[in-house]
Order: sequence, then structure tokens, then C-alpha cells
Amino acid sequence: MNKKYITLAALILAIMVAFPASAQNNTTASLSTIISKAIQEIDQRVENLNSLISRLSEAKKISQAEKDSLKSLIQEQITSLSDLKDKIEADTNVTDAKSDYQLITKSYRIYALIYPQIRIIAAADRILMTASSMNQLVEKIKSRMSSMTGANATALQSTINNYAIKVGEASAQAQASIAQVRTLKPDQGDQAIFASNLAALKNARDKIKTAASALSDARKDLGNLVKNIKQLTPDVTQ
Amino acid sequence: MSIILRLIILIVIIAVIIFFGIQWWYSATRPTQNNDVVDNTQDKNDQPPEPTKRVDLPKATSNTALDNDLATIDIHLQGLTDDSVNVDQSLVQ
Repeated sequence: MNKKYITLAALILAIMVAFPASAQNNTTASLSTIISKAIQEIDQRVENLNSLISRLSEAKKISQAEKDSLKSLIQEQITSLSDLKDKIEADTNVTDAKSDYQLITKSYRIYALIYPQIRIIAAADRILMTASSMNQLVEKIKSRMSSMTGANATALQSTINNYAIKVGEASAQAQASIAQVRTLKPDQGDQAIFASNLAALKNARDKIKTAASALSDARKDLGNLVKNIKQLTPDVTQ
Repeated sequence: MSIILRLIILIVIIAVIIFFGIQWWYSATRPTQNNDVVDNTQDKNDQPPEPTKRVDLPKATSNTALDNDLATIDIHLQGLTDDSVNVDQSLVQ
């Protein structure tokens, strides 16, 4: 009988001693897990932001001042994220770590705003660059057309006019998409700003799609122009 | 003047006369090259046609240049397709 009581008491004592230690271990484990996840999230964002800087460096049609401004915005985000990373690494309790962890998504909006914003500007720049290349080719076609007269030249001129409408549309849409997103700022948790930013980004995305479609149609016109001008301009003899 | 000296001068004069005499005879009897030349200056209307002159198009607008420009534009358009996909993906996240 005594042995039973002693065993039971020992068991209870063991549980009482062990439980606080287990709780302490769980707290330590969850703090290190939060910090580890936060660092991972921040590093991933910094890597993607650096890739955006590289992409912006390749841009040809947006002005250098605009490029510098956007790069500065991105660099600002990288610096802030690095500061946040240092703060999270120094956190000593779960509450602070959780609070700082949430700042990664709420305050910076890297994926919700900065990333699509720069991607849209980069796509718009590519549209303007492609339109410029197309226009240069059309000038060469016009140069060859100068030796032609009559119905052939008239038909080609008609195709050129249609082409010009499409390229003009693409360029206008690209410019509008840049204007729409270039001034957007992180919402800092304000849902109304978040919603308006998202709407602007989606609208700009639609403009990019419209412009890409117009350029694709213009490319077909260019293909026909080149094909026809090769056939209609034989070698000249003197 | 001694007789020997007179004889030498006579021989030299005879040798010179013989040399130039042979030269004259050779040139007079040998057919001249000019006789072989066909004089076609009187037959200008029967000249062979001049080869056709080919006028090359300016390099900037040659067929090759146009094809190269189209290829460059296609590369830009492929890049634009990639950019559009990136925009879509960035807005899905």
C-alpha cells in the first residue's frame, strides 16, 4: 500500500517538475522557428528586389531619372528589410518576434505592390522599345517603297497605316500603365489604399495585355509588308 | 695621215653603213604588228551588248537587313511575353 502511494507521489512530482521545463522548451522552440521563418521571408524578398534592380537596369525607354527613382525606392525597401531582419534576430520573446514577423507583409508590401509595380513598368518599357524597333523597320520599308509607284505602293501604304494605328495604341497603353503605377506607395496596413493600389495594378496589367496584343497584330502587318516588298521590288537594271 | 689610219676609218665607215643597211632591210621586209589589228572603229553598231549592270539595294534596306530587323523584333516580343507572364504571376501572389 505504502509503495503504491510513494510511486504515485513520485509520478506527480515528476510531472510537476517536468511540465514547466517542457513549456519553456516549447517557447524557445517557437521563438527560434519564428525568427528562422522571418529571416527566410526577408532574404527571399531582398533577392527578388535585387532582381528587379537588375531588370530596371536593362530598361531602355524610361528615363534615367525615373530609373534612378525606382531603384532608390527598391533600395529603400531592401535597407528597411535588412534593419527589420536585425531587429527580429535580436528578439528575445515570442510576442515581439510575432509582431515583427507581421511587419514583413503589412508594412513593406514587397509582393503586393513593389514587385508587380516594377514588373509592369519593365513590361511597358519593353513595349516602347519594341514599338521603336518596329518603327525603324517601317522607315526602311518606306525607303524601298520610294522607288515604287501605282497600285502596289498604294496597297502597301494602306497596310502601313493600319500598322501605325496598332503601334500607336500599344505605345499609348504602355505610357498609361507606367503613369498609373509609378506613384503607388505601400499602404502601411490601410485597407482602402491597399484596395486602390490593387485596382491600379490590375488596370495597368490590362493595359499591358492590350498593348502586347496590338504589337502582335502590328508584327503580322510588318511580316506582310516585308514579304510583299521583297516580291514587288525586283533588282533594278540600268 | 698614214695609210693604215685611212684604212681603219674606211673600214669603220663601211661597217656602220652595213649595220644600218641591215637594220633598214629587216624592218622593211618583216610584217608589222599593226597589220594584224582588226580595225572595228567603223562598226560601232555591231558591238557586243554591255553586260547588265545590277544595282544593289542600299544595305540598310536589303532583304537581309529587313529579315534581321524582323528577327530582332521577334526577340523583343518574346521578351514581352515573358514580362507579361511575370506581371500576371506578381499579381497572383
